[in-house]
Amino acid sequence: MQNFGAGGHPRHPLTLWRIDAAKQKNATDQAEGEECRKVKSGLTENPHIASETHGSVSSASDQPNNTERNWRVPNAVFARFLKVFERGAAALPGLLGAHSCMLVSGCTGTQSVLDPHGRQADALAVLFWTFASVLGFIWLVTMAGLLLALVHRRGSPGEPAETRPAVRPPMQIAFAAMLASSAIILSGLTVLSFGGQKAVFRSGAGAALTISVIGHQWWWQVRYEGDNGFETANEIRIPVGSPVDIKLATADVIHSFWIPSLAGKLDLIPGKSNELRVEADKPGTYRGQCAEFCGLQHAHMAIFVVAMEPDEFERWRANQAAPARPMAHLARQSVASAGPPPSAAPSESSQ
Amino acid sequence: MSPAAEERHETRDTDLGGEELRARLSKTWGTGRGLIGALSTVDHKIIGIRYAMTAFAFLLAGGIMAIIMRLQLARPDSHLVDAELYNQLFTMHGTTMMFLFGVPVGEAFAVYLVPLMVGTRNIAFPRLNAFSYYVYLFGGLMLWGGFALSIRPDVGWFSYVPLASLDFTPGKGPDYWAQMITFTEVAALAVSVEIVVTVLKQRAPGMTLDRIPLFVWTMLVHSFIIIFAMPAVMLASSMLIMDRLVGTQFFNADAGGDLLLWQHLFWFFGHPEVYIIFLPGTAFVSAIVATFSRRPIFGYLPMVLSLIAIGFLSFGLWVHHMFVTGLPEVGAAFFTASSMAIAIPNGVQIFCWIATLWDGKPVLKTPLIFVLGFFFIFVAGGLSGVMLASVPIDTQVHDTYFVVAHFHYVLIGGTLFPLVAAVYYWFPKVTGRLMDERVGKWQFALAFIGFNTAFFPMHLLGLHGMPRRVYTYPAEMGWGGLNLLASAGALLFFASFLLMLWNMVVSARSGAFAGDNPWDAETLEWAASSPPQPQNFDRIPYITSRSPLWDQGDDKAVVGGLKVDERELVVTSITEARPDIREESPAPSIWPFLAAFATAVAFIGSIYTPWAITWGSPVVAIVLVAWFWPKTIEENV
Repeated sequence: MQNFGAGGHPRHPLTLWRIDAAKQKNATDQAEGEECRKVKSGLTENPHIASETHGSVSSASDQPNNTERNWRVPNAVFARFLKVFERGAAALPGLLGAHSCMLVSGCTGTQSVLDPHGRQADALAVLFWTFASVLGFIWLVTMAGLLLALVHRRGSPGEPAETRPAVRPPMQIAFAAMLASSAIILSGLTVLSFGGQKAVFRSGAGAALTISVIGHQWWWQVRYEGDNGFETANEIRIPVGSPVDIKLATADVIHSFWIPSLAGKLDLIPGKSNELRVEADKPGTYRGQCAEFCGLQHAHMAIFVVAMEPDEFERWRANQAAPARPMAHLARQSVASAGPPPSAAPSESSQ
Repeated sequence: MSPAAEERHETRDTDLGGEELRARLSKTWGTGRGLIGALSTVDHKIIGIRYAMTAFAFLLAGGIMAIIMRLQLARPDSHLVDAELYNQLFTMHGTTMMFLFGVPVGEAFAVYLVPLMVGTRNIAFPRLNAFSYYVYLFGGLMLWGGFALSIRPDVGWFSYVPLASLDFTPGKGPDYWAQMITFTEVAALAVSVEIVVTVLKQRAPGMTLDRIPLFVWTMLVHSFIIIFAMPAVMLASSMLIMDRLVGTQFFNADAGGDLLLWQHLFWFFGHPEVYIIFLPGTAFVSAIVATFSRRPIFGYLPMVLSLIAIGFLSFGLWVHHMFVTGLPEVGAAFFTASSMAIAIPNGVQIFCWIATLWDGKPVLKTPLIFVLGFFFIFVAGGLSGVMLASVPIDTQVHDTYFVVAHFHYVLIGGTLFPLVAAVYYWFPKVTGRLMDERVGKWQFALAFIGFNTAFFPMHLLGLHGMPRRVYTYPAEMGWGGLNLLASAGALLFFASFLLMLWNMVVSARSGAFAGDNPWDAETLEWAASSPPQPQNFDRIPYITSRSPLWDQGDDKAVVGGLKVDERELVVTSITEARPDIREESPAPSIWPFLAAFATAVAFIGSIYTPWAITWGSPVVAIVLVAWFWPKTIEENV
């Protein structure tokens, strides 16, 4: 495992694995069709991904409101309103000439704040869109005011200055209104933000599952605690629908653990223990990468969270906890043919 | 002053007039010839121009770094530069833009303009001013000289420990970085003290506190922020260099040190730093909006109060840079509220400027057009800043390209656009010639389109999961298109600055003559000739209005009685600006340059051996003794 990190280029084996994980996941999980619906044909360079996503497009129409159902917001109307924004924004990269592959990432391991698949990320996305729409509106009003001020009256260069303009009552009223409304709006946003902190700061009982993640330059060590504890690298598997606590520690410098589609980020700091709670609300592979600059290969410090149905997860866990079988040889062979057994490749180096 | 000295220099400005007075004063306040003369000068205008040109050279260098990074990120899996060089590039880009461009360029304008605007003949402590420039120059040259010699910091402009500690980054890169901080901070502190004293004690008689131009108020607040913020980062960088050089353990968690202490100290400086860079931008906007609206700024009092509020509040937000370090919930909530609160004084300023435009009759010259660009961009950046103030939202966008987009909107929109406006606005004062308007408008089009094309897509990249400071990204992430777009925009934006450079060079040689007050502006610097005489004003103006050049007509009251053959200026009381005393202003001296040189040798030497401090201190002390040697003896030499 050590040479996994010291090699300085941990991405290579992962690329092969990811293709396979997506393939395996799609074969067993139709819900994945939700985000694959966005896929247009021929958008990805990778034939494995392309063929799989096409296969699942048809299932998308079965559950049009799949994501909406999971919004944990009291006001459903509000959530629907925000959803419209989100759709618009999702189309924006396309309008801007972006490679549409961005949308495909939903099928290779989602890594997007705007594509939440977990309890925490859902709440954060709602908060984000609330802020974005309120602040966007303020920006529009300000620009409208500026434009009006410019066309209101225009001068010519030679014109003498009016040095002592009367302060007109309407401008004083406008000033007071501006001051009051910005104070009210900012207070409102502050209160919303405080409400949103519940998604960040854990409360209530302990989670069903606790996993330790230890950051290394430049890979992630994952430890499942308990009597039958075991380790994996750069991959976490969690059961869908139950809260999971992730204990964050580091073996060297500061890293930051971030799976955008599941939750916000939290730093791994030497001498400090941080804990993050995530809860995936449907099966899938969620990609993340280190978000605090940690040295030379910071760019390649990725991690995948695979959310599985609970029974499937338990089978995987039991399998992992079982005494090691001579799997390494087999895994290496199958990586070469791009089809390893799903659980073998990522954890081969761990034990 | 002794009676003998009084006798020697009898002539006062009341005895002379017209050309003779101008010529005599100009000789008294002038700068010597030759290299020694150039290095000895204490003229705030010459030093201000040097400051500005040095800062622009660093802007160009930092800009080239940015362009190389954008070329690298334009395609996924690109191999234009490798990880090592990329990390060096973003470190140098950030460091250069923050410490060697952003802070000094504001000081450059303050050093040049504040004495003119308050109607005095030189900045307070002019030798310290010269010293500060050389210290800044040597600090910048050290960092870039090290870069050329492959001693390159590569741990970011923030140098978080433990990554920046000896264990993880051997080599001298972080030491050069930390010492560069010391250099620029010494320079910045010196300038701030000068500005504060100039504003509080050297204002022209009659310029009461409520008649100070908003530009000057802004620079006063700016200087106070520097005085309180900069020591924190100097302390931090000195602790870092001591950890690295002499084995202290400030930032070693295993030995009882604290890693987060670095972050607290760094951001206690780092957030005020944003306002240190941004406030000069607002100073330019206040001056330009008034001139081109043909009105004084609406709401002088709310503007001044907002500035002071920003000054205080800017110290209460630093923790919002640390929301993802695992803070206690209540602590984090406090900093959300304080970060939100600073939007209010900023909103007041924006409102007052727009109200001035509304009430006035805007004349769309290049400076005002760039200020309009400022409104468009800065307001967007400020509002995305409100998002970052929210702890939960910040956990998603912190350290992503969303933040990169946000602070470029704030810093480029808030400072660089007003700065370009300021260059167009004050260029005629500095050179006596106007810059070309048509090229200016083309430059604006390039800059505005280029900027938004470069930085707007970064918001989306951040939301789609792209972290900062990655030297490349896999094609499967799908970030390629937006990155390509951003890179294209960055090239356009860079080109706009080359266009400005060309415009400056051509206009300085053959631009239209400007006259003293080409824009018919209200503040005192436009009463001086273009370019100003070494003495700034032949006679010290007496101020009876907030807009002296508009209100006081051609018949301007003046104050007399200063000696002509000695460097004398009027010192006034702090609030009422009543003339208190005549004060002698220091003459040119080579010692500030030599002191800066000795300081630089000691600082650079200390990177290699702590003994450099031991042996460097007596040398610096000797130079300082020579510098401060009593004047009467120096005169006899």
